[in-house]
Amino acid sequence: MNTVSVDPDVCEAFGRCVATVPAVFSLDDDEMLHIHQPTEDQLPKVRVAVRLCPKLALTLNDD
Amino acid sequence: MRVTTRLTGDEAQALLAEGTKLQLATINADGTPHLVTMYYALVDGRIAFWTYRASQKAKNLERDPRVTCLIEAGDDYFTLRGVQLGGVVCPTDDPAAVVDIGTRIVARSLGLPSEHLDGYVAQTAPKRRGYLVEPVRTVSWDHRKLAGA
Repeated sequence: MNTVSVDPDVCEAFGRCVATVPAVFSLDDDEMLHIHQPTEDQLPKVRVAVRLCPKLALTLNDD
Repeated sequence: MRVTTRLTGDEAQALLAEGTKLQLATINADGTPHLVTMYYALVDGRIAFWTYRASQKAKNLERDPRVTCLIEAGDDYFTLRGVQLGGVVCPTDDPAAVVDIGTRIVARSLGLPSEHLDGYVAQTAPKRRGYLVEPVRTVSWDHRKLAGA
């Protein structure tokens, strides 16, 4: 099972992950990032989102 | 006979194809050089880059489209090789063209599959301008040729 997590102290709501996989990442009105854990077929895009984060706030745990 | 270190047209194109970064010189309003390192891609063999429209280099290029690009590789003296390409930029604000240039650059610079970049590139492209470099003169060198390699 692959899970993705965000460090909320590091995230600055650039929104690149939201733009990349809106089904997994969303920002609320307070710019808090919410994560809906990805399905297997969403993982390639999630890997791209993790690499695109300019704050390195996302972690994908590969088991 | 003096050994020529100049690259052939094909060799210069190969060096451009294997690089990901270049040094980009533009001209400030006071005439001083403005120098930055940029990721680039090739579009039909021409150097392409993108930048925020509010950036200093974008302002410089609006005033004066002349640029010099330096792409170089190698560390010790006998492996140094490079291309210095002077020319003028053709800017584009066409959304499809900016997205095309941006997708190639992000894919190349980060080694990411371009088919997953559409969301991010579409998000950032409206703030950016794309440029193609129209070459006017090229200077090149490959010090490996000195060693007869």
